[in-house]
Amino acid sequence: MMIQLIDQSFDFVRRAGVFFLSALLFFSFGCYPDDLTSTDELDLVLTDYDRDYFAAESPRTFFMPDSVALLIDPNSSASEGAEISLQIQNLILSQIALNLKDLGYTRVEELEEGNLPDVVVLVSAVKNTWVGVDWYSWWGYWDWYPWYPGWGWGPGWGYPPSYPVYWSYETGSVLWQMIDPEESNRADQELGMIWFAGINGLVRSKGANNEFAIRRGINKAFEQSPYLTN
Amino acid sequence: MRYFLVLIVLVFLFPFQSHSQDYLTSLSYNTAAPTGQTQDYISQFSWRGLSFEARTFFDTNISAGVFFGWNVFYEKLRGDFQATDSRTISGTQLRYINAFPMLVEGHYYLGEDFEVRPYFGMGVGTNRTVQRTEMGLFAINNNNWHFALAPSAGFLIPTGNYDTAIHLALRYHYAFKTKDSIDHSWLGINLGIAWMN
Repeated sequence: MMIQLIDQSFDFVRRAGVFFLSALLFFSFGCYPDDLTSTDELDLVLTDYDRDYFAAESPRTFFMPDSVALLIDPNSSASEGAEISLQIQNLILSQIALNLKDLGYTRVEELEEGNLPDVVVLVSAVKNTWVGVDWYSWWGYWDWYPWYPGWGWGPGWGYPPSYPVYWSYETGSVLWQMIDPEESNRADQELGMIWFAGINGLVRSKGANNEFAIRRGINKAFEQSPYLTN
Repeated sequence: MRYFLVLIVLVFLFPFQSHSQDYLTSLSYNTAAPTGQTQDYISQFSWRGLSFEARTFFDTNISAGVFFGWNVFYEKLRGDFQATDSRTISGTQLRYINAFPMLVEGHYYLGEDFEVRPYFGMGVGTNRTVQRTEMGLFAINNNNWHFALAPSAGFLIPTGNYDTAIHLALRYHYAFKTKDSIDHSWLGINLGIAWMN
């Protein structure tokens, strides 16, 4: 009776143990099926606006500086050495201006104190480089394991040889804000922001792909902002 | 969590009468249909999951035991997402829920040993949810412990080998909301093998 009970208990414990070992592995990491098929799927477009302003106002004129401000975090090495080429700056500015023109906005070339445009558009960009290293070993890291058919611990693989895999990638963001100059306060350094748009994604290795992604992102930001229409 | 562990110990220390079937252990493949707020977040049927159960019989018709499960819910969405009334985000969004129910259960069985045995019962315990939303290069994680209930019903169908049976079960999981999480619920459809001693 006692032997039978012990035998049943071992049988139960062995089955439970197999499950718990595998469950522990899955529990530690979870399961994240990932079927991203292209870098385009990592692109984001975000817009936000002042509902009260656009419910009451219909801006028609805008001013936009002829350069893109590059934002660098002095405390982060990721943005060290970042730069935006003149070609990309011109692309960004021209695409934003084109979209605003299509919406019925007229661009003014200079800011005059007594004759301010309805809105001012300020454009900036961020570029970061991320680097890291992983240790690759396809057969895992177990050095002790229970062996079949019984239950026990035995010698197995030692820590397997592995090799470092270095990786790096660049991310970029283009951000632009529409400011109401009448609501801005120079003394308090406050800007009356009425519309914000941003695009974010991976910097592609081919320039043409980057230009296409930037153009597409800017167009999408205007497409999801129908309240801008004059 | 510690109260759950105490319950597990009490279940297996409870004295039982000796009869032809004392223990049941089962490994099952789990599928799940999300319901309620879980379905609002992820509407796709889950084809990934597994579970382990162990039950001890007090007599021919009543058992108590434990259930450990794992279900994966996943959905890929594209398009515009209205984050607030004024804020719109567009892109590809990946949504994941890894759910780990851990329950103490009691069941009542119809029929006799080594026959097709329908059963029904209730489980109570905890549910660990690991919820992750990825969009673009960003991800938000929301991991919580929930109090959980899980009524269940199923069949044990002997295979002809007295020690094993096909185990088919339906289990409705409900994990109550926390201050940081919605409530999670799904209907589990499990198919597996049971070993009986």
